[in-house]
Amino acid sequence: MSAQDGLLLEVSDLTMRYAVRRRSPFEARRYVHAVNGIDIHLRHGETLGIVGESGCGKTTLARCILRLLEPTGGRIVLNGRDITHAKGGDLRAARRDMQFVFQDPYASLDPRLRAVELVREPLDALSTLTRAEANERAMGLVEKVGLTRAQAQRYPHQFSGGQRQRIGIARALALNPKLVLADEPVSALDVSIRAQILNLMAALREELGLSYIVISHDLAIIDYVCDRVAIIYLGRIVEQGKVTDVFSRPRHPYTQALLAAVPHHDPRQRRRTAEIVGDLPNPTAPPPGCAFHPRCPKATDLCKRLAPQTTTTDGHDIACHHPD
Amino acid sequence: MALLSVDNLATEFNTQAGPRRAIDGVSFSVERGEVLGIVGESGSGKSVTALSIMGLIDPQVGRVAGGSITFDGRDLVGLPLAELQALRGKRISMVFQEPLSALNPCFTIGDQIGEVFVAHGDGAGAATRARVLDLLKLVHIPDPEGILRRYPHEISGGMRQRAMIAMALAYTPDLLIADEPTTALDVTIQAQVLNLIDRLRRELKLAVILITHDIGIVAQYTDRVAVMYGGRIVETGPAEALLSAPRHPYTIGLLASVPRLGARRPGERLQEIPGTVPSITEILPGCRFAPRCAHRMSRCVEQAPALAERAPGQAAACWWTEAA
Repeated sequence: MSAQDGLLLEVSDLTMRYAVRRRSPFEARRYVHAVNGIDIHLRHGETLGIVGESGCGKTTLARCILRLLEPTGGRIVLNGRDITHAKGGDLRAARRDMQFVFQDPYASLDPRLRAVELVREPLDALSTLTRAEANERAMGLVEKVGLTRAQAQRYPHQFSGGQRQRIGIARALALNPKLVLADEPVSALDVSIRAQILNLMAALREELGLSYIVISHDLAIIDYVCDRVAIIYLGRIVEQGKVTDVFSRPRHPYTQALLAAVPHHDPRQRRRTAEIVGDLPNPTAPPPGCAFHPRCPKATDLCKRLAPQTTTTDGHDIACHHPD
Repeated sequence: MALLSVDNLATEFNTQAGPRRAIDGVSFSVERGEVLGIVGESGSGKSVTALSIMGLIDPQVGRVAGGSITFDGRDLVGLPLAELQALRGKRISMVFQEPLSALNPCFTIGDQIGEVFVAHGDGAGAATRARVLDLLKLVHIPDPEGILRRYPHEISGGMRQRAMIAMALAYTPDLLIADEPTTALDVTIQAQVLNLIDRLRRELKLAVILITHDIGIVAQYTDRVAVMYGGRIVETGPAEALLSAPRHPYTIGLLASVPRLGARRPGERLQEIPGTVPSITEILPGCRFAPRCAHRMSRCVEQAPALAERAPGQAAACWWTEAA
């Protein structure tokens, strides 16, 4: 596939494994498969949501796509170029096309730099603009994300959390990326500020033709901002498809459990859902067969023996022996 | 008479500009077997309210500056430390947001829960061990004997929070204060912990103060709600009435700005509340929400409104609501 198909990003059979530290040199090597054979793709202008519980591998997946990590298997194709093992100049070129918005705007901005310098930093590092041009572009971005030219001269501690996240977004946009990955972009913000940032991201997507990958554990936010969604459990995608399909007719028992666990906003619809039991299993010793089977209400002998294959109908992927 | 009634409570902290009130004029009550939700963002004063009830405001940095906290007929404000310590952990308990930082990493779960009994003069030994085991069973911890010997870092977040709840329940308290008990947990684990608190409320007739910023949790798990903003209660009432017909502009704005699962219409933007939460040092003689309020009148900036009943059991502190 290539850019002509409208595919910005294609990730196939991606695997990232880490060696587990051994207690003695005679012990057998063991690995954690943080990402275990993941396939995702993203069209131009599309927003993909990635959902999963802590430890499921969603952040490792993002770090592989950005090539902050070199995956141990599979392929990452960005705009028709294979960047799986890119190095040097090729990697820098790829990095211009994809940028990251971090979860915690308190920890991710250098406290010694002014807002305009923070936004200019990626331009200084990766663009050919002169200092004056870079400054002007940074100022323009600061205004685009809703801050004033006067505010651009302030330091991070002089801003609120929401304003800091605006700086983080301006910084990510400095190099005109095609793809922005946002890892829990609003979870560190106050509830009344979240809508401001989500609306800003939506407006920028339309104006600049961006594509987003949004990682979140908040299903309502995914529902609001994403076109498609991938549900991850222990390093594998268990269900993937259009948000409207997956959330209105979830077919995998894990997706169903996640949706049922979200407390309903209408107090007249009180219900005590059948909660799923247990915790996420230890990733160094994943259960055999389907990784979800120890917590699954529909698990059978087959699920304990054999990991399910992914099947696709109408663009809705599912990896389950007993889907609804 | 209510088990706990807080009347006109004010707590102040030292700032560079002198003492400033983090909460002011806070009044509410909680009955046995009832769940009161306190909703607010960071800086709203919801945690300070909880810490004031527990007598946990560090005298080096702050103090209760006015009002009363009447628990079972006794005023807790100014109570000698020894009497307060006899109540804390025995008749009033608290569950904190982040179980990993609330637990001591150097002691096993069994030792830490047992310490509650030791602190109240019941000694260690086999009898205490048996009581700890019963507590772990009460909060449905699988393999309680094993967990007893584990250190906090060896068990999952959900298990840690259950251990915290077990510790809080050591003497079957009359009042349980839970400050964002599930914010650090995944949704499937959140449902388990909240359902546990709800079951204990019914079985043990606990009065519960549930502090949260999640509207869904308020809707599903509370009987009455107090909405806090800038250190004051701006609206209070039965959960169902308040969520379906909010009267204060802040509550109205907050409910409209939060994404709800399955509520998105294509192209729709979230409603925003402009501006940011005021800081403790900002001097606002009128309504603390006035700078962000769409219905602001000149009176709002000059004079702080008091809570007044707008519907049966539902009160709002707002001049605009009064005029409407």
